[in-house]
Amino acid sequence: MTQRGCNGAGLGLRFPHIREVLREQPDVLWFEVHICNFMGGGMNRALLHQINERYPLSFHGVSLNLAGVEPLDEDYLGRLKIAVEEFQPALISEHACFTTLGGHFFHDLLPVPFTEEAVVHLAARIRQVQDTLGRQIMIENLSRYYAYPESCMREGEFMAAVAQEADCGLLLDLNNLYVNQQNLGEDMTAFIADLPLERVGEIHLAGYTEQDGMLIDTHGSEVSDPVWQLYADLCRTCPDLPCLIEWDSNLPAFSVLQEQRLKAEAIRTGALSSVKVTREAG
Amino acid sequence: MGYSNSLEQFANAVLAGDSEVTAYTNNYVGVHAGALGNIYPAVQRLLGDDGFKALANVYAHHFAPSAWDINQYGEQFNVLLEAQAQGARAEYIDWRALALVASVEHMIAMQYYAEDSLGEEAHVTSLVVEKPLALQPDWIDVLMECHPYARIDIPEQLEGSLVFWRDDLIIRVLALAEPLVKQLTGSDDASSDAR
Repeated sequence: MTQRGCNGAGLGLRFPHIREVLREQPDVLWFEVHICNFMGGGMNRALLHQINERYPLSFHGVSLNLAGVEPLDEDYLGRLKIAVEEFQPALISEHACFTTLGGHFFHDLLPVPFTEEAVVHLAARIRQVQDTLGRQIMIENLSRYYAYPESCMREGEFMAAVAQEADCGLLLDLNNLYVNQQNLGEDMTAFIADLPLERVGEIHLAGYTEQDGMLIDTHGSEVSDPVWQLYADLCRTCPDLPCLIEWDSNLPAFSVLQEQRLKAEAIRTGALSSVKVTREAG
Repeated sequence: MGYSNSLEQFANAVLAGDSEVTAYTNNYVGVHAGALGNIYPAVQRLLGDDGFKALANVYAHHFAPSAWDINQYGEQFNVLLEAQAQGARAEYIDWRALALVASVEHMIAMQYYAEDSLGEEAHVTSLVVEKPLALQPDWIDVLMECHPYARIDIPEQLEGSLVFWRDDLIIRVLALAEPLVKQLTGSDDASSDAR
């Protein structure tokens, strides 16, 4: 078990790479795992213990159904609490979405309308999770392919209001912002301007796939140039934020992920140096 | 419109395949078909990508997931495979043997997510092969290549039971006589049938 924090650029760890990581022990600052895959016992949990001995961990959830309308799954939440106590991850995050409705499991991050009612509902459930875990979690903005007509606020305003109401952190996914800008015409710089940046605790970088004229957030390709640019711009303001390369589908060789991670780390450290020079000159 | 109604309308539109939420409907099928690919890599290799994708999509359309854990999805995929022996492509492959390969892969996957904890006794499960069945040697090789964490020690001529358990960071798969299986598993509860 490690008590180390997640600093700098990390990598999303997917099952096909676990053996290689344990064998080669590559130079990676930290790993993020989809905690839903490690909440039983069995082989997966044993492997995660070995990873945790060598690297700081971040737990990223996709199945908590935070914005759903049925009560939070006590069994799931109990398992998450056990895993958090057992592995002591440096970061914990989930999504501002629903994944289950009427007993139907979608295994997808489904969007919600941006309304005051949704803010109160989502924030109350985040508080319930934080109270159970005894620590703060971060909530991630979604990639979306549909805009509810009943929404009455921008997504950035919605996320800011939820974070304020729940006293939670925010995980800022820049690829999701770009996908939403291209598909729905939303302004990603306006989104960032709406956010309380002091609540952002992590950044996600990923690639998309183009299907039928839409950008789909598949996490199945390299980070795109506009997203790299957005990250570089953001680093000028907050270079200390940990960032993560997410790659889930069409998984390439581990070395490709490392190249992406090193690129992110170079952008981050470059911005950090510039900020220091500016501060010292001032 | 209230929050609950908004979500319900959206979810129904996704399941109905409404044009304004096509990306979500496609993703619903794609993510579940992809989960089958993760659980059944040997079946995918033996069947070929196109054939596997077609059957995985059929399964994803007709078998709704029953749990939040997507790793639990696809427990009846072997049944769909075996049913192909009665279909138009009956001669394409030995569907019954392929269904057994799927059953073995599902049992291996369940060992990854077993309800045991470190330091506790191994969680032993078993798979009953009710009628004698021949597996081609290269199919066993494919199973081993696709599951590098598993030690699969099974004969080409199968009859009786296969047992599965975790030995530290290795999943063991072994063919055993039926009475010994019952002794190991303690009961019949953990067993699955392969016809």
